[in-house]
Amino acid sequence: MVRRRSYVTHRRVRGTRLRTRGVSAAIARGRAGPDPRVLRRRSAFPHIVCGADRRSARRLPLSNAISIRGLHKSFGATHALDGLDLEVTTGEVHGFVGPNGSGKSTTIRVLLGLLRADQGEVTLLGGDPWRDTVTLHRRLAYVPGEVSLWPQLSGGEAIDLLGRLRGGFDPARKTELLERFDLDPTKTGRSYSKGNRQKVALVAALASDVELLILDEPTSGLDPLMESVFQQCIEETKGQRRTVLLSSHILSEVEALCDRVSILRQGRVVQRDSLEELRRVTRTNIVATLERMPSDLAAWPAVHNVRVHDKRVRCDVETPALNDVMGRLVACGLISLVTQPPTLEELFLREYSENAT
Amino acid sequence: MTDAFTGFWVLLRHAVRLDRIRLVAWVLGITFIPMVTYATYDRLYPTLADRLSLSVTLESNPAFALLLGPAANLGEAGGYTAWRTIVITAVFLAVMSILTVVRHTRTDEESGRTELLAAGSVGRFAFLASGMATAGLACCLTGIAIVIGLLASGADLSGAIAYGAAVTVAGLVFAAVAAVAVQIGSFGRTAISLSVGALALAYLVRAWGDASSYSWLTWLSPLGWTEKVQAFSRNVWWTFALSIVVAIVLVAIAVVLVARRDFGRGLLAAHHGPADAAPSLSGTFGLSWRLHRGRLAGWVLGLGAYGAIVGSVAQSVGSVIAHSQLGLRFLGSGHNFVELYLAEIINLMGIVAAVYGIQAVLCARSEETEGRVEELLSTPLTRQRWFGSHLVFALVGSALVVIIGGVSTGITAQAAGASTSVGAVFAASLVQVPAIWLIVGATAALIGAAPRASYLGWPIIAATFVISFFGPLLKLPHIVLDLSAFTHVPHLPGGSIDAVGMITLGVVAAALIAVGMVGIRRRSILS
Repeated sequence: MVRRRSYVTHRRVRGTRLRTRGVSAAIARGRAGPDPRVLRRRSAFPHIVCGADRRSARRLPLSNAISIRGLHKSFGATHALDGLDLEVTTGEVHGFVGPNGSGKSTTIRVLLGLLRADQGEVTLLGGDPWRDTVTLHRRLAYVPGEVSLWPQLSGGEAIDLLGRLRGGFDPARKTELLERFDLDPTKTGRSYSKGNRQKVALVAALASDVELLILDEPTSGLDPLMESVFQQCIEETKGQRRTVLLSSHILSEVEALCDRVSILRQGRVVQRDSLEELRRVTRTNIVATLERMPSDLAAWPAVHNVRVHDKRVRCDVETPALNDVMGRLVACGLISLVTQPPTLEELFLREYSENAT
Repeated sequence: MTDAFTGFWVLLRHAVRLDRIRLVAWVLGITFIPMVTYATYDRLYPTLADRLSLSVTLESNPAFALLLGPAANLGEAGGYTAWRTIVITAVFLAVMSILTVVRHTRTDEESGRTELLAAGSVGRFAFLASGMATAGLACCLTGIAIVIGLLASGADLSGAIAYGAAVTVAGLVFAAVAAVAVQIGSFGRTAISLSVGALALAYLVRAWGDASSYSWLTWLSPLGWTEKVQAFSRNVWWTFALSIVVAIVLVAIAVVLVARRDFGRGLLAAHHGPADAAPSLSGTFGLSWRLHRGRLAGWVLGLGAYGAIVGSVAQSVGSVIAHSQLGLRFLGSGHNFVELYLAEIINLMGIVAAVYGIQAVLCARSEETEGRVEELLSTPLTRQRWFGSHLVFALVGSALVVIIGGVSTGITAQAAGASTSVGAVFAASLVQVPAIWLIVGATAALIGAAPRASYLGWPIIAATFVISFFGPLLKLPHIVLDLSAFTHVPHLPGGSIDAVGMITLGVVAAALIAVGMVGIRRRSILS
């Protein structure tokens, strides 16, 4: 059902060139190899590692933490995933964006080996998520969008249990995270609010020393203060070269954290690129005050949604044509100019409004 | 004041719709008990002599009074049915009421569904009122169904109505008990424990009053009032007033509490737990122990206590049967009637232990449907290990329940001078285990292979109970009798051990468990 690709990866770790052949070797590396130890040592010097990684990231062919091709999954008559492709590079924070019901959680459940794929190729940390579940799960942590806790257990107990099941965690890190998230670990499962249940799962995931964090709308229910604590924590993981798959529809969060973004729609990825790249192919919003309003402005190439009010013009310009349009505006006697790069929100809305029609 | 009930009708319709299948199953199941008992009386006691000896031997016997209430008018089908079934029918109806009220009040509030509705134009008392009304409706329906069922079996109208009304009002009293309990406990489980505790207390107080010289104690128990109606003999109508007054008082208390308490909270505050997990909570088995231990302790204590009661009267019951013409005619001479009685009791305990086993293994399924298993299975934990950790409690726990029940029965029976030994009763409970495991295994197989049908474990055990206890009476064909796993269990103490049957049960149980294990490994996890 899920075919595995045999491939060769090269990764530079502390000057050594690791050469891994095939899937089983990649898993073995995760279980017993030097990688986790090295990563842990690295995390002591996040800034240095960060810079080095960025540079090496451009030079070396990077391995993919997650690679999905043509994934199909249906539940009865509903096609939840309809040929989804997704690539998440090792070490990046990857935004997984889409409206409700677009297939984000289904994809994540396939990645966790909870759901069996109907069709397609899925590789997670070099292994098959359905078959190599246990070995792969040693290397990842997961925060579900809807956290359900055991009524009989306190939050602290649930964190410890999940940590121990992942093969141990640092109690000092737990204490630190509890403090940062302002979470009372002595309440029992049923008396936590939604936000606090979410915090329990976040603390459990962030306290564990893993390579990959899979976060399914992890901040739903968190207040803005906690949301910013969460963002700090993810920023810190960037320095530790952890991979993060962040499913979200809070676009400001994705914008602040993610290196690259995949936008989902009806079970497919419809846009996938770095944020800059996405912005480049879209439109920049301009508000300009001109001495002479050109009469044919609306007919200019690459200019859209022109709204003229007295001497002020508001329009959207296709970003690659920005230079050309600017030249024409200057020729009209530019008095003032405000440009706004497109927000993810606009990208998102545009993607959906265009595709919906 | 009417504002406080705004939305009542909408909620009631909604609740009835949600419960339609569940409540119909309850109503039919409960109706079956008195109806079949009445209908089979003539077959069991065909002659006047049989009936006379039945009356003479049982009507003054404290042991039977302890178990079922004092006997009266056993010479007629009605009197016999009332004595044999009215308390147990009332208990079933009470359980149905408690579960219904809690489900539509506290459980919904706990899950947040009530909040969604409460934000609409819904009055403060509408939730409690609709939950109570659903339970009340179910009680009344059961009462009517019982009256119809008894009439169809040939009972007289006034006796049938007295019987039906007596159990209906008992159901209403416990619906009202649950109405108070849901104000006290913050969680559905707490409310159920409190209400079922009250029901158990009512049963014990009644048993004590009926079997001792403190007969006034019976008047303190709502279950006692159902027998004081004396359906089919004196039909004492005014005792209904007691039940109705108590129900009204309890509802009034509940209403006062609703008006005073905060939404989502009960009078018992949620307690706090430790900030760090104990070393024992380090894996899936540690977690299962935490999830199962409370329930297991409750069942072990419950069956242990029941064993102590039934064991203490074993000698007395046995000698009654032995000295009646009836016993000799039906069972033949040369039997040890104490052993026959004990075999029957232990068989019942086996079925009860299977109920625990089904509950325990379904715990795995509810972990899945409530979404908690996703977090667990995102760790390096195999599904088989996770499922196995629940299955172990279902298997070992159910065996423990029946063995503790049996040993407790044996000890008290021996202490009371019954002609049996603890060892023999222990062996009797041990041979129940393969049959229990077969039923647990069937539920496990459903969870693994057909998860959406895993509730079918309940109809399976219900059918097993009916076949085992009414099958011979109804003269069901052998093929049907053989469908119950407990048909193949040796009748111990006293009977002989059928090794082939036991091994067959064990092999089928193992195969079913294997199906469950393979299924859980292969299928998608669906929440």
